[in-house]
Amino acid sequence: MLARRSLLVLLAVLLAACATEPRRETDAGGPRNQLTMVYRKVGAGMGYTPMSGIVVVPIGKHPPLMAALSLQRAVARFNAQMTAPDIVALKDSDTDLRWQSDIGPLLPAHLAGYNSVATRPPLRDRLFGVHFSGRLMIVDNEMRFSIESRLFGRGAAEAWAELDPKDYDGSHFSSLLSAALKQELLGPEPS
Amino acid sequence: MKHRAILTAIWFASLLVALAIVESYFLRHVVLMGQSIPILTAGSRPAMYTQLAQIYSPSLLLIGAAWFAKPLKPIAAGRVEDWRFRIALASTLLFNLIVLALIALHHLLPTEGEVLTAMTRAKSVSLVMAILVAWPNVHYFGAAPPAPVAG
Repeated sequence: MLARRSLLVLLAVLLAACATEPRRETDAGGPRNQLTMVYRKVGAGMGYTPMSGIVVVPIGKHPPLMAALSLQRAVARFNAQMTAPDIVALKDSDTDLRWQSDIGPLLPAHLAGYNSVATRPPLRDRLFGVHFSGRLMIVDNEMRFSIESRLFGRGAAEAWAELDPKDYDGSHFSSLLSAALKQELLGPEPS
Repeated sequence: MKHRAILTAIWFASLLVALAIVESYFLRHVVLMGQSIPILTAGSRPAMYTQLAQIYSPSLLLIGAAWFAKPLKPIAAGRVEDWRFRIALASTLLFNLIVLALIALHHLLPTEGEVLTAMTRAKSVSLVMAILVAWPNVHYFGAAPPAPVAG
């Protein structure tokens, strides 16, 4: 009787241990990267003189357009193209947008940069591509970007196949895009 | 018996060559965007071998089964037998060469898109061209050998 009770207790402890095992993060390519930039429109109390860390929206452009164009140029640095939203159709009132790119093949320099810092297995033996997506919100004189990156791989003559997010650190590429986007929004650094 | 053995050898040799071609896609590397990349990655193996099996399994199933069961009555051999075998040989070789060429298309024409698409095309073509090899296979593998003449 005592032995049976001990066995039941042991079983319960084992089940509890299984249930409380820490869950692995399984979000696609790691956490979303956030970038928030304050903007000012030219004519709204400021001139053309650039201010440090503030995005200047010139006359003839509106904040959603400015943000989307900068995003487009930043994404192009990764051989990718924006597939949404339709930049031509953007209006000043579009303040909450979902955006995404196609799959841009990563250059050897990108892969070398990743492999030199990655804690996960290195990316090699195939062609890798990155797909960016996220959300763009224009709120209270701020442009708020969320950036998520997913990696794809393929051989020379096959279709892209998405990699398991556990096998790579997507936040690395989200950070790179975030930095590129910041550069595009603020313009070149003054020399 | 000799004719059947020759045709069987052609089929199995073609299968072996096709396997070698498919495997070569995983072993051969090409330079793309400054990187040495295999034509196919290991993830494509199941899809490639499924397509290959679908190309060869109908014929090999029939041939393999016919070595053990002969459901059809034999046709009288006569003088046309030589010609019959030549036609069967030509049809079998033509079918297998076309299928092998389609499977090896990316080695022959590297700009020809995805390998898996070429395999799917090879399978479709093999189904259409099955008429080339269906009759020879039925005759040489499905028919029982003529009974020995007594005396």
